[in-house]
This record gives sequence, structure tokens and C-alpha cells, in this order.
Amino acid sequence: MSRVQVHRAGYALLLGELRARRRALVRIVLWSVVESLPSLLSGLVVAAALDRFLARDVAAGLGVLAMLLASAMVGAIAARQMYPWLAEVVEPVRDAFITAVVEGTMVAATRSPTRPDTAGVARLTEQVQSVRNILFVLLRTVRQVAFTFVAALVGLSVLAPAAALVSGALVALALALFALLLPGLAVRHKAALLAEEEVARRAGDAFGGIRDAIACAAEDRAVAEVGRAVEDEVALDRALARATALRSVIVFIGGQLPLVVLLVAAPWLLREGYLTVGEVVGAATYLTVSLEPALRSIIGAVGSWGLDLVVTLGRLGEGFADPEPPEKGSTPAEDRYDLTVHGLTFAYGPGAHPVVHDLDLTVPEGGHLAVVGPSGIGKSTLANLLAGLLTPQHGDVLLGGVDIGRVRETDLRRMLGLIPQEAYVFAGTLRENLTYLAPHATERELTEAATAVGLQPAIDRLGGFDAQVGVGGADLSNGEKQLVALARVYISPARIVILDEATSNLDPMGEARAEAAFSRRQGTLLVIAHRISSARRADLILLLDGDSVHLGTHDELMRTSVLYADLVGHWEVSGLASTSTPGPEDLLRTANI
Amino acid sequence: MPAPASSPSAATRDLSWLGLMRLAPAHTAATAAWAVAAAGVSLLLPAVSAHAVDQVLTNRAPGLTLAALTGLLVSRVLAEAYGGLARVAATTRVAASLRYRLLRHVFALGVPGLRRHVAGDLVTRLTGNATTSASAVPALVNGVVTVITSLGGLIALWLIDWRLGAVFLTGVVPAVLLLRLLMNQVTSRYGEYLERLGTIAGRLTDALSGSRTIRASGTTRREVGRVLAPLPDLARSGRGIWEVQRAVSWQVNLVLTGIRVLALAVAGFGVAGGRISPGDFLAAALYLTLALGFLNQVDTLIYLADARANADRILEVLAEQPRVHAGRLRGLPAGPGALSFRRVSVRLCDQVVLDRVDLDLPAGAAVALVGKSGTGKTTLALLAGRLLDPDEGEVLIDDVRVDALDPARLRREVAYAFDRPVLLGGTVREALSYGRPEAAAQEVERAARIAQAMDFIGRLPDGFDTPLADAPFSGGELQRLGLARAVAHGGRILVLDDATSSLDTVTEAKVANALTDGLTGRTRLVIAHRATTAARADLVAWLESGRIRALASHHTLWAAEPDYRAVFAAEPGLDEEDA
Repeated sequence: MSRVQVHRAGYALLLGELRARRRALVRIVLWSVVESLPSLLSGLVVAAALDRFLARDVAAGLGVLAMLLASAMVGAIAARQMYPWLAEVVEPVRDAFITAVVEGTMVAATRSPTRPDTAGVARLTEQVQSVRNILFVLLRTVRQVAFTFVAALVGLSVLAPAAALVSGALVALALALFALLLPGLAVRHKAALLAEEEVARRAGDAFGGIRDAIACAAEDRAVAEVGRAVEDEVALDRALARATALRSVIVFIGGQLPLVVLLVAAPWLLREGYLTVGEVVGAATYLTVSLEPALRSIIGAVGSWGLDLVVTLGRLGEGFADPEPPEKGSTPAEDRYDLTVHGLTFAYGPGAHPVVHDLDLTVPEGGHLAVVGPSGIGKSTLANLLAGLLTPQHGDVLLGGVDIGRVRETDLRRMLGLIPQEAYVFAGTLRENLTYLAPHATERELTEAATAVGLQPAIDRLGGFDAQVGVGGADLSNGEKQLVALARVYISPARIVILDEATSNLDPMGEARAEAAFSRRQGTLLVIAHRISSARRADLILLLDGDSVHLGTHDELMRTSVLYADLVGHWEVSGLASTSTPGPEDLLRTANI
Repeated sequence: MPAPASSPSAATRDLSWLGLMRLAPAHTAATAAWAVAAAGVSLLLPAVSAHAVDQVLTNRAPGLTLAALTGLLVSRVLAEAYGGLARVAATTRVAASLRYRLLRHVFALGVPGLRRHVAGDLVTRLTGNATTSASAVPALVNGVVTVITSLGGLIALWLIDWRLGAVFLTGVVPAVLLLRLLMNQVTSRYGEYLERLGTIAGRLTDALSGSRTIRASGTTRREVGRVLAPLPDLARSGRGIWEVQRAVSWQVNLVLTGIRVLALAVAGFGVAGGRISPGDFLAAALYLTLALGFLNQVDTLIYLADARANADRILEVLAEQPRVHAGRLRGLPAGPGALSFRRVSVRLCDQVVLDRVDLDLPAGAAVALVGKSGTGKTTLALLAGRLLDPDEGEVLIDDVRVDALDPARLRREVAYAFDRPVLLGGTVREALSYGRPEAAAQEVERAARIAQAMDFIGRLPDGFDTPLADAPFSGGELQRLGLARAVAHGGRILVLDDATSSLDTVTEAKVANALTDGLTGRTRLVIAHRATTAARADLVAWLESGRIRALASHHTLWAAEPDYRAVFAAEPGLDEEDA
């Protein structure tokens, strides 16, 4: 989406939802008119009642007041009828925003290979809730006040047209000034919001680096870094407040000046017989009881809530998902599932050191490959490349002879099963978790898979496949969660299984059992090794060592690679075979014995 | 700014309403003063307006009164404007003070405090909780002033005609009871609503943590549906809130109008009986509005309760006592850098991690610390720089107890390189000189060269001056930068906690050589998982079950002890220890 589209996405959604509920909005307007009847009548009634009371016609005065009470009842009924329509508008808007936000976050998280920002979830739910609350206030309070305002103005013009004219002109002036003030307020409001987010970001960095800051004896520096952001926010908040203070002047012009004008002109109006005493008091009542508070409310609400809404809609809209890109591949998968890699090269950025460089590899159907190397060297990246989740800069990965980028997505996901280190167990029954990738699995298949990977003890402990697990259910240890993930892929129709340190929380025996189960299972197994013992069980081992890559069996690598021997826990004083990589002899020479 | 104090004063922990106000006394007082001024004007206005109307009606020159009226209106505008400014000033100052306190206290709690608190949770306390607590201060002040103003309005009504006051009181009691009943319903329904919203947020967080699995399974659509499954329940709760709001709206408005009509009727009787002038009739209507103003403060009460809960969350952290007590010795006498641990014991979560460990590192030596995962290697290493304190025993550097030293001075002498360093600062240069901002450019570059980091720093767009945010680093590059930072830090002792685990063989060998050549004389404590690392060291300290099992050269141990060899047939890159 272009920048403008992103910026507008929030408003577009809101307007779309409101447009879809036109009927409800019309009903709200109609009922609001009825609801504002008491405001319309208030000044008139007070005027009429006072005149009657002054003329000592108590009964008539009470009668007029009773009319006010009656109109209040009508207004109450109208309010009662209107509320369901308010709910009808606001709740679906909130639903639409939550749906858009959830979709946006999930799609973004699953499209990129980097870790998602879970802290953002709290912010998002706060913002969606904020949108709902603001709509609530706007529709309940501001709508009521706006209609009250108009009704009072109408009532005033019926009672004392001249006063209404003066009042109307001053209100128009005030609103015009407010309209001029708003853009400036919006800019400052957004700046203040961004400053708050900056404080959160810097605080997150500081709290994440406490250990390092203390070790460097630089706590003061770290605190000062956040302190600067805090002071910036204070300054921007106060700047916003100064601009907001002008609102008081505007309310004065539109709300209180008319009263002064009325009272100044009153002697002349009374003398010339334009207005009776009651009418003067009635007009004063309209101005002070209805118009001035209403104007103050509207300006207050629009200036704060309205701006909040605008800024929040903008921020939320930035998180909405791009429309789905067209499916990359459309070729149906072949029946074969051998993997071939030619000249694979991948780097994370244009200037970065490549993680894999010119890699050639063949894994036949049913093969068992282990990938080992120092942590952080790029083993997971390789797993992602082989699973078609990353696109290499050069070279290709062929699945059954077809370029993996061109295979149809649904077929690809069905054939490849990648289990990452962080096992995903969602809130639901064990059965739902296990049949995630194989909805039609039979009871027998479930039990078979559980026994094979070693999940059966956990199932017995929890009481069967229908036990609730995940958030709000029974607690599973990290190891048990990994076993669930393993069993899930075991049952699935995947023909190529990639374990990306997926047994890291199991003890060595559990790991051996799980790997053996997958090895026996029909299909190819790729293990990104967590323990070096995984390498021993494989047919072939791929050792990633920075720029160099070694491929061979366990015995071959023990002979040819110092790093592999070191990783296996082997160390010789003398007699290492010569290798093409520089350094091993240096290691021996510099050992301070 | 002073270094984090050893124990927080009682003032730090007082977050009662008074305590919060004391964080910005001047601004809070100003808010109160302006609020009182505005309230005072509001109480005078109806009386003056009434007087003006009466003067007009009896053909007396109202000039003076109108001037007074205008003056009052203008003063109210000013009072409101300045009051608004004072309110924001108070809120921002209180929030900023809370944030500073929380920040400094979390740093004072140090590494042991990290065990109890997740960074994300602390950020929420620092931002959201602090803001909400702070904005309660002016809300409280204004609430009190409004209630007093209402009281003033009631008194004024009473002064116009005692019957008005009586009618008001009889009418207001049922109104208050009704409002209280409805507000309780609102809070409970709202609580249910927030809980359901929290469920959806929880499911989303869950799904995000499993995003890699979802991506690999291609089930994004299905997961979105699962996260949104509670939405109909949420909508139902939402409608429940609307139901109660509806009741509040029509019932309360009707009751208020009833009170108003009743009061106006009584006033009307007064006008008919000649007791009340037309002006006073107007004044009665206006004072009635003022007197009813306190009913709006019910919202404020709920808000204050919420703010209280927020302040308590900050108090929770501030109440924790930091365990590190600062020594006072300002300097470590010159020495070669011998590090000793004497009968050091550490217990974590009721488990003995280190049990009366005795270890002497000769000055200038490189000593490897080896042992199976979870035996306490990182814990022992953290003791050297007092990132952690032992429960028993003492740690000495050149025969001076480390807890007798001023902590900042101590940490100048002990440099750390971690296996997952966190880089702080704006640019690469700032990150490398974080512990010694006064370090010269050549020293920083020398450190980078030793850590084998020059090649990739050279490739960055602005080299050393590249902002950290613009340069994502791989695991190996990050480790080398952390190492460079430790080298640039200087000091007599260098602790390497698995600081080369992400480096490939060639680079690791180069780093080892460069450290040996470039840092002669610096004592090194190297936590190692690989045999070659242990072989390069002068001595190996073998930690097993919380005790030092042996201190000898790698060569000797390898030849003599099969258990020692078994240590290295362990998991590469696995770190199960809690730092």
C-alpha cells in the first residue's frame, strides 16, 4: 500500500462501517431530535412560568412547569429508544477494528522471518479500546450536547430573535476560530503521542540492557538516555496544553459574551417593549444553562477526544495488512520429494556477510541429514531456505526437480513439516493440537504417534486426548510442548521433516527416541542439531563453519575437520591431518602448556 | 546524578495521594488555587447576574453591576485557562518523577532484580501506569473543589429561600442512590468486557509466539479465525454495558429534571408571594446547576480507584530492596589483578548453586572455567564485578574485598564480555566506549581490531559512526562487538562468559591469539565449553556440583580424568544457566 493509503486505512475502515449502518444513524438522529425537546423548551418554559408567577397566577405557572416535566419524560423515552441503535453502530466498528488489527499483526508476523513484537499487542488492544471509547463518548455525549445546543438556539430564536441573532453570530465566530486552531492542536497532539512512544522504546532498550549497563559502570548514562526522552515528552505535553488553553478564550467569545451583550441591551429592549421580563430571564437561562455549557462541551470534546480519535485511527491504520500478494507458485508438486540445492547463496542485507555461500547439497528421498555448527552461524536460516520460507539471492532449491519457489503454496506446506525450537501449543484440547495438520487422523494414528515420539506419559498424566492444554488449560513443561509439536508433524502428511533444534528441551534419551521415530517414518529427515549426538545418528552431516562448509559422514569429518572434532569433544595433542583452512596448527602452537 | 543509593528513603515509597502530590507541590498548589478561584467566581456569578437583572428591571443604572459581571466572566476565563496549564504541568511533573524513581530503582535492583521482572512489564509500569497515576492528582484536586462548590451552591440556594435548600436535599438523596446502583453495574459489566478483550489479546500474543510454526504450516487464516473466536462474546459484553448506560441516561436525567422542576416550582411560589425577585429566580436556576455538579464526580471516583491500582503497580517495584550495598573505598590500590574467591556460596531459588568455592586466579593468568551446564559458571563470573553478591564468603581483588569498594570504581577494573551482549548507545563508537566514554578513537579501533570486528565495521555505511539502529548484526558480529567493548573498557580483569560461542573456528582462533598478544598482564576468566578454548588457557578450574573439583592445566586433566573429558562431549551452544 502507498504511504497515503496506509495513513488513510483507519479512517477508510471507520467511514466504511458507518456508511454500512446508515439506517441506524438516521434513527439516532431522529430520536436525538426528540430527546432534545426539553432543552428546546427549557428557556421558553422558564420565561412563561416566571411571567405567570409575577402575575401571581400560581396555577398557570405550575401548569407550565408541568409541561417541562412532561417534555422531560418524552425526552427520556426517546433516549431509551435510541440507545440500542447507538450500540448497533459502535460495537460493529470495534469488531471491525479488532479483526483488522489481528489480521494485520498475524500476517505481518508470519510474512517476515524475524521475531514479532509481542509488546505491540498491548498497545494495539489499548488503541482499539480507545477508538471504541471515543466513539462512545462522541455518540453519547457530544451528540446529545450538539442537539441540545441547536435546540436551545432554536428556542432562543423563538423567544427573542434579536438575542438569538447576536448569540448565533458570536457562536459562529467562536467556531471559526476553533476551526483555525484545530490543525495546530492536531500536530502537537501527534508529536506528544510520538514522544510517549519514544519513551517506551528507550525504556525497553534500557531495561533490556541493565546487566550490560551495570557491568560497564554506566547506569547513569543509560538512565540519562531515557531521562532525555521523558523531558522531551514533558515539554511537548506542555506545549499542547498551552495551545489547548486558547479554547477557554473561544468559549468565552461564543458562550459568555452573548450574555453580557444581552444584559447590556436589556434596559433598552425592555423599555422599547421588545421583550418582557420573563423573556429576558428566559433568554439568560438559555444562554447560561444550555448554550454556554454545550459550547464548552463540544469544544472540549472535539479538541481532546476528536483529536485523539484522528491520531489513533492513523496509528492503527498503519498496522493493517497489505492485501494478499498473488501466490508465488502455481506448479503442483511432483510425487518425488528429493531435495537438491545448487549454488545457494543468502545474505540478510546488501553489505552483509553471506550466511551460506555457493552451497551444493543433495538429500535423497528418505535421507537423514544433520546440520551442525557454532550457535548463531546460520543453521536456522538454512532450514528456512530449504523449506522455501526465504528466497536466496543466488542459486536454487529444487523439490522433486521443481524450483521450490514455483511450487503451489498449499502443496508445499503439506509436504514440508518444519518444527521450530519454540513449540506452538494453542488453547484447546490435546486432540485439536495434534490433529492441527491432519484433521482426519484416526484414534489409532494418534496413539501411535504419541507412543513413537514419547508423548504417552504426558497424555496419561493429563488424562487423555481430550484434556485442555495451552492458556487456561493444564500446564505443560517446555519438553512436553515440544513433544506435542513433534507428534503433530509425525501424524501430518509431510514427507520432508525439518527439526530446527526442536528437541532442545528434551533430555538426550528423549531426543534420541524422537529422532529415531522420525527416521523410521517414511520420509526425509533434516535435523538442525542441538546436541552433537544428533550428528552421530544421521547418514550425512553438514558442518557450517563461517566461510567453509564440510559435508560427510561422522568418521570423515572427524578426520578432516578440527572444529567438528572439537564439537564432538575430541582433542588431540598432535597429529591432526592437514586441512585447507588456516589455523589449526596455530591453535596448537599457542596453547600455553 | 548520584549513583543508585543503597537503600530507598521512606519518601521514595510513599505513593499515597499526598505522596503523589508532593512530587510536584508547586504545580499541585497552583492547580488548587486556580480551581478555587474559578469556583469562587462561579459561585458569585449567579448572584451578580441576578442583581444585574433586578437593576435592569427596576430601571436602575446597571452599569457598575454589568462591569462587575464582565470582570467576573473574564476572571473565570483566565482562571480556567491558567488552571488547565497548571493541571498539565502537575500531571507531567508527577509522571516524570515517578518514571525517574522507577528507572533508578530498577537499576539499583540490578541483575538479581531481572529475575523477577520482565522488561516488557516494566515498560508498561513506566509508561501507562505512571501516566494514569499522575493524571489522578489534578482530578482529585478538581473533584474536591467541585464538591465544595456544590456545597456552596446549596448554601446559596438556602440563602435565597430555605425551602429551596430543603427541596434540593430531599430530591438529591434518591438521585445519589440511583446513581450509585447504576455505577456498580457499569463497573462489573466493564470488568467482564475488559476480561474478554484480554482473552483475545492473550490469544494474539500466543499466536505471535508461534508465528514460525504457523508460517511453516501455512495456517495463518485459520489462526486468525481462532484468535477472533471470542469476538461474539465480547460484543455481547459490550451491549451489556450499553444496556446499563441506557438506564443511567434516561433514569438519571428524568430524576434531575424532576428535582429542577420541583425547585423552580418552589421558587415560583416565592416569586408569587413576593419573597423572591425575578433576578433571584434566575439565580436559583443557576445555583441549582452548580449544586447538582457534584453528581458528575461519581465518574471521578471510579477513575481515582483505577489510578490507585496503577500507582500500586509502581509501588510494588519500588518496595523491593536492592541487595547490593555500596562500599565506600574510592580507589583500588595499584596491583597486578589477582582475583580470589574465598568460601563463596550462592543460593538461587532455594537451590545451592555455589557451595563454599575457593579459587585463586594468579595475576595476569588466563584461567578457563569449565563444567557441565548449570553448574554455576556464569554465577561465579558475575561475582567478580559484583553483578551478583554471594550469600556467604568473600571475593577479593589484590587482597581488597570487592564489597568495600565503590561499585563504579570496581566495575572500571572488571570488564565483561557476554555470549549475548546488549549494545547500548547511539552509534557503534558509543557502544564500544560505553564503559569509558573518554576513550580515544585509537583505543576504540585497537579494541575492535583485537576482537576481529574491523572487517564488518568497515563495511557499514558510516563505519564507526553508524547508528546502531541502522545496522542489524548477526550473532557472531554482536559477540565481537561485545568483546571489543570489554577490551576497550580496560581494567585489570577480563571475564569472558562464553563470549566466542557464535564464532567460527578461524575467527575464534584469531580472537584468541589477539587477546593473548594484546592483553598481556590482564587477568582473564574464560568460561568455556570447547576443549580448544580450555587448552589455550594457562589453568583450568573445573566446577562440579557447585565446588571446584580441580585446578590444573587442561593437558593434565585430560590425560588423567575421564569425567573431565565427558564434560566436553556436552551440548555446544547450550546455556541453561540463569544469569
